[in-house]
Amino acid sequence: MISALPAIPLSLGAHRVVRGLRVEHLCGDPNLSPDRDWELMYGIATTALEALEVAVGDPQLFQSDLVMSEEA
Amino acid sequence: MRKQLRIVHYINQFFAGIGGEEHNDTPLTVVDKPVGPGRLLESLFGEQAQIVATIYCGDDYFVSNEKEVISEIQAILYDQRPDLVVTGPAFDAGRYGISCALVCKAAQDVGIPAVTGMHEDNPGITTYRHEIISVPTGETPIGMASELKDIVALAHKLLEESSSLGPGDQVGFAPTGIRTPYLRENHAAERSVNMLLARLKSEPFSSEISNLSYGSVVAPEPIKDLSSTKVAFITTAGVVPKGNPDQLSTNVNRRVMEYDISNLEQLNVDEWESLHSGFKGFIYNTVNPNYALPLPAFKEAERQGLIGSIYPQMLSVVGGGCPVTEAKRLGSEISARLQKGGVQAAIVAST
Amino acid sequence: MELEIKDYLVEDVVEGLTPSLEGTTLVVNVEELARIIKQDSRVASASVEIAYPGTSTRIWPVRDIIEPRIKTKGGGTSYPGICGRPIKGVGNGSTNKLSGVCVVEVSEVPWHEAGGDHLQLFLDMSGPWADLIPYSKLINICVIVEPVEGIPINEKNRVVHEACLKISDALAALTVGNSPTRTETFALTPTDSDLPKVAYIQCVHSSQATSGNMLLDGAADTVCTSIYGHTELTPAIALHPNELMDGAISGPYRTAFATSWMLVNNPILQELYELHGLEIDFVGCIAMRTEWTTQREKDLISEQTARLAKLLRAEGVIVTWDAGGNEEVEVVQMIRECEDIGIKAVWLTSDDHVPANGESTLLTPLPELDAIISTGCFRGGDLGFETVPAVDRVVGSKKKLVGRLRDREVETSSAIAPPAMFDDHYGIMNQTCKEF
Repeated sequence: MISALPAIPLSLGAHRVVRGLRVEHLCGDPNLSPDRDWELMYGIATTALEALEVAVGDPQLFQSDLVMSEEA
Repeated sequence: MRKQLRIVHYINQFFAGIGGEEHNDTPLTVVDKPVGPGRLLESLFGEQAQIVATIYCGDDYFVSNEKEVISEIQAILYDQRPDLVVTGPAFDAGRYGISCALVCKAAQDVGIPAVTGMHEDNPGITTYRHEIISVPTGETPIGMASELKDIVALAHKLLEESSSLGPGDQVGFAPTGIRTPYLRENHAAERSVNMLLARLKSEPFSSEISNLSYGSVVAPEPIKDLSSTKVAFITTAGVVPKGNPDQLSTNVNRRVMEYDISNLEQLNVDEWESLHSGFKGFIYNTVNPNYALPLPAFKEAERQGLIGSIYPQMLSVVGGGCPVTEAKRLGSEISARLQKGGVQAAIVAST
Repeated sequence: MELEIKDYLVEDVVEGLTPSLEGTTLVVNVEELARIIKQDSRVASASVEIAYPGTSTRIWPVRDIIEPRIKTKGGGTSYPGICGRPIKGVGNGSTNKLSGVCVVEVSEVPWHEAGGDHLQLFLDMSGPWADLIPYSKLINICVIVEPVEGIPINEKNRVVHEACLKISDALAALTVGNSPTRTETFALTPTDSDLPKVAYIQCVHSSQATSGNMLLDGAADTVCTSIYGHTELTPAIALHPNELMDGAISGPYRTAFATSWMLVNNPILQELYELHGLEIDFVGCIAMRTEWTTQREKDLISEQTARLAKLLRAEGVIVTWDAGGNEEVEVVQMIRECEDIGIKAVWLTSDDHVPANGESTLLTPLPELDAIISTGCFRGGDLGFETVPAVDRVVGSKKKLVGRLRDREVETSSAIAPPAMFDDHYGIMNQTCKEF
């Protein structure tokens, strides 16, 4: 699951949670240049796809570096 | 001429006087008079009542032949047309409690009010709490005489009020756990402050909402080879074709929609909109709907060979205002559909 | 801070040439009031009508309900900050209020233009919906006002609300020179150090991130319940209860219990003041904004609020909120933070939809707290009646959009579904949900 508020699905037991950006724009950022925005979108999408291949026990958070640097 | 209250009573082989554990396989038997505790029960109901039939059955026999037993009992009820069914009381006998609960349900299913009695830990009540009316009893029959009186009192109330009966802790039955609108004597602000005072003074209090456990699911095994896997994509932002042709509700949605994305490279802002009323969808609707579901990124991933294939439909639900039970139901529906379509993994993009 | 509140009870409202308050009868000149509103050139149309309790009357669309109040000593006005009103003297001095009446803001202007959060509140003066709200027991002085076209949405909202505040001020001014029915003084006088310290945490949502008002038109802010005129998502702030009683937090916004009237008549404040010095030391109030849209922001506001409560030396808190799924997250998180640092909380909240199988009802699980008060189901569909009865008279728009998709137009006077949300945010009613 891709979520802007990962603490919620994690606390409810969703096993593979991918951090998105904001509720109002989850998988990209309209304030970035188109190239950067695409990198961000692709980064989130591939993080989600890669998470499918990871063995998890307890709920786990996955996040792309690109998202973390945008967060601040 | 006073109307007779016609009652059918269900008990097990032990209370019918057949015997204990060794007679657990006693088959379903009907007698046209009160048996065992039924005699006291009938007399407690008074002169206007009559137990027209007693049905008894071995606890094991019931469990092994549940469907047939219920069927037969319902046939007897059709025949006898009683005004009331009483089962048990079962005290702490687990299998007996369950069969008492199931017989109550069977009676209710054919429109006959039913009452039972058992101990609060009996699996009959813990499992079927929401569906039956049961008088709390002790663990053993030691208090049965007075507990039968409680059953009679409750039965009368049930026959008078039926659907508005409650709440359990006031009327005398095990709370069903069904939350029902109710009017208190004072307003919530006063109750809040009283509750806080109780907490601060370490005095007892009882919460008006008790906490939910959502239950847990074991993590599915990871995908071994994503490059040969069919992946489906789901959005909870209610992404639908512009104009919402299927009239998906913007809040309190109960449906999951599927839209063909097999020939799309991305979602065009002129052609799609997000219906989730919780966050107004402004950016999704005027700038870029792919922010809700990054379709172009997934298509690129498919081109790069990262995934085997993409399920041809994008699944769309509206997450806003969705109660937990509805979400569960939608989730089951979605997973059934996807499994049928050969999908082994899914990504939910949720706002 | 010390605030004297003088209550002037109104038992009847009649129309007349010269406005006045004669004993408990309020005389209003509705044409004159409409003229006052039309002095603002941004007003396209305005009229004032009176609706009485117990009559077959419906008022729609209702955006806010205001208790007429005026400050007579200490300077400033009631409902400070909003619509550019001064904030001097709030919480101190003397405030006159009219009880038994209210000003009802009636207009088709939506809060935002980005969609969602549609106008949904109507008032009935009799019937099952009337029974659930406090305003049906008051004489409703309805201000029906529409702004001109072509101005930004924020400005339209302001024009409408300002008009109603003008009427509220004009009516409250009639109390000057009269004797109040009741006078009460509010001050947090020093108490016994033994008494447990209690704070009130009021969670108020801001639609800043989700309404689009700031993206559209480059507006400086959005429209929602305001704190001293501010509607943005801001860190939590501490307030003296007197500030709240003078209207520091005021409407308009959205639901039946999120109104200016309710905010100054907040029963939590009354309860806590009553117990101050006797059973508790009421240490203050905190306003916490909700509806932040990233996890990090929610983490920040939750922790900051708990710390602020600790700074106020609170040992216990009452928490209220004004609803929404997204908003619930930080409310729950904040309660968790409070409990973590040893502050005991009681949460006043509504029940979500009640499913037939008895499963509960809180959207976000909060296993740490077993002290919750329920104000009943918040959904209009769970109130126990599918429609409200048809009425003889409609104040406001005669047509209304109904249906899941709001695509059917019906007569407002007909038997329609109750408003989508009931939600008694501050616990003024006796409704609850109980496990049967």
